[in-house]
Amino acid sequence: MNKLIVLAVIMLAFTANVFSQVQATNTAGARILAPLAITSNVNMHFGTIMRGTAASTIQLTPANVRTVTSGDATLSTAAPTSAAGSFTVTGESGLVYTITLPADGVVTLTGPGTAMPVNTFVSNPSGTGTLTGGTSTLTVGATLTVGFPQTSGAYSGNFIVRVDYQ
Amino acid sequence: MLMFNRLAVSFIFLFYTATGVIFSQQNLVATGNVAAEVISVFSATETSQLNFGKFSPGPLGGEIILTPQGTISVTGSVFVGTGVHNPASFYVSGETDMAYSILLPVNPVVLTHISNSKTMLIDSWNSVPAPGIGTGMLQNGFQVVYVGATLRVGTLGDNPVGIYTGAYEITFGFN
Repeated sequence: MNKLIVLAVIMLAFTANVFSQVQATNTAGARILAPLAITSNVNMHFGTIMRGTAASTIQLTPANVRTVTSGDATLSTAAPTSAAGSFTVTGESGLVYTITLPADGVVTLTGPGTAMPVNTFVSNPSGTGTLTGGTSTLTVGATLTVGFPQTSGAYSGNFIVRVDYQ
Repeated sequence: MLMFNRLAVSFIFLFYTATGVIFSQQNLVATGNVAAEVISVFSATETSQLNFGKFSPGPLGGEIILTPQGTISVTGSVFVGTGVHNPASFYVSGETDMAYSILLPVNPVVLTHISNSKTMLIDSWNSVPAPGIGTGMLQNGFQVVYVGATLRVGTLGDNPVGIYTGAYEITFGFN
């Protein structure tokens, strides 16, 4: 009697394992995703800034709102005007992607005077975004440091934004 | 039984790894351009005060017209005495070749006698360069703006002898 009971338990365990193998195979085979891509649409611009009597920082939000966060520079609405950076991300509808922005100390603007650092990059959405309908707009802002004395003129630089499927 | 479980787990893992190849991710990185325009500080300071000089109103009163160029003329019975009179002048500085706007007082400005409440009005403000949007230009990064106006003087009873003072506001601006 005892021997018979033990045998039955082993058989049951064996069956359960076979079942789980079949399930795993089916799930894996169904997963094919549209490629993820990001393109730059609108260049970021801090606009026209009147230098002050000391070094100043200018924050540009992803919603294109400028604020002098330190120093006494003043913001002008004269051309060239400010703009938040804007990117289009495309990929599999409904999936979530992660956003990697430049680290501090990486991006500088060069021009007629001393290079100006751009740090504290922020984006909207922040951290991750969702590809609703297979597309998502990503806007980017950052903080510019204007030195003193900072030579007048146009300054520019590049920055890299990376996206990955989560 | 334990051995069977381990096999099953490693089998699933292998399948997911293989499926990962189908994630054909492309153009994961985009380069954006970022720029800024730095310009000089924009400022304006008064370098000389508006001064109509010394005058006598006479029996009827009248007007003293002081042009931005510094020329003075009168109407009515006003008699201008000797002494200094000059338009106001302002030193405006900023970015070279930048246009700016000059806004003069719209309403009359009141001058009050320093020892009683008698008043005179100044209106008809004018300037060189002319007032308006973008009428000023900072060639070489600066410009001097001259401002004149018309002082309306009453009779000697309305405006007894003495010193009259007042303040007015001029706005220099750019976009």
